[in-house]
Amino acid sequence: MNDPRSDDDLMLAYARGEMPAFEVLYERYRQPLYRYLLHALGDRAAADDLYQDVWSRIIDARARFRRGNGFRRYAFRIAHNRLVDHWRQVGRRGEHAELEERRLSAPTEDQPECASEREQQVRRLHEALMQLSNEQREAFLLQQEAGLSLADIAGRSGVGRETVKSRLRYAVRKLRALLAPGAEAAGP
Amino acid sequence: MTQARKPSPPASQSELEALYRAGAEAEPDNGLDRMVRARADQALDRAGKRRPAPWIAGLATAGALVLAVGIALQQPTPPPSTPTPSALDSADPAPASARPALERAAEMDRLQAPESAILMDQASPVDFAAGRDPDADASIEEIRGLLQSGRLDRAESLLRDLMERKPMIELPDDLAALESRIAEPGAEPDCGPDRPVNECR
Repeated sequence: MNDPRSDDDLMLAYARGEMPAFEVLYERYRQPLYRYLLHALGDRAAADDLYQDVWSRIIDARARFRRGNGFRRYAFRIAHNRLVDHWRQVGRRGEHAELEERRLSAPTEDQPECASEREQQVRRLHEALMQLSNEQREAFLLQQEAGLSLADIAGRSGVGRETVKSRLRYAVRKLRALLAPGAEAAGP
Repeated sequence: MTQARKPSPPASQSELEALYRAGAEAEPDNGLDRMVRARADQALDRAGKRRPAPWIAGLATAGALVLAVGIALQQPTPPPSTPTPSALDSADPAPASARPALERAAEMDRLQAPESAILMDQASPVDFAAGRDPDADASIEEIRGLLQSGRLDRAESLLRDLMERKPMIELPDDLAALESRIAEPGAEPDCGPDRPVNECR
């Protein structure tokens, strides 16, 4: 899978009918896209559904892809749009119920009691992520998984750069607070 | 219940990011990977657009090149270009060396036709009309020899035999009288000033 071609070149090659180019591209993005969705949703089943849907949209839109679009930005924009759609649907059901679902689906019960300190911290970080607002969580994940700049995230979210900066600042502050000793039982 | 020992929180944003990356090992399961790949593959099938990987085209080109070089190396090496004198060459007003190179090459191919046929699975057709059949040339030379030695009957017999074997052959001018004698038995050859003396009894 050591193909020297850029993401854009691979996507264009796939659009021309070269399946091996898709294989390389998929290998590069399967983990970042999946983690972005999983950590944004906090629910493996929902993440699986959206992950499949995102790739279907990437595949269907291959003919419209143009060099210079930037596959990374392109793929995460599709994923972001699907997340927003999902949250809108969930919002109609009630945000609180969704948060409760996330709490219940968080894999805390799977963790062995003897888990290392580092593992405990990671688990608590994932739980803390679920307590951020959707906007804050997504800004944090887009930065971590997609490596997008503030301007890119702002463009994706339809808000100003300063707003994104503010969301990230609040996200980090809240995460640190939630990871502090004694904060585990804190609610959303 | 005893309170579990709490790990120290990340002190900075970079520590927080490092902690996130340390736990960011989630990945889609194999079934999900297979579904996405199958979907991508089917999309190409539906669109009727499928190209082989670039290395396949390169491999095909290299294979064709090797095949072409192999065939070229198996071709027989042409003999030295010293022209062999023959009855036809002597009848040709231009010397062999003065003929165009392509014509000489074509003649060489015709002479080597049986050997080439083994390699190419296809024999070059012999150009009877041009009288460039080595077998016919040898017979014509023999007939000429017989005429010069006065053995007219034997020459006639040999020419008849040649014309039976090669009905499309175009005989050289010096054998035309003998040919007409075969065509019209009993006729006296024309012994005019244009005819060689050896054609007259």
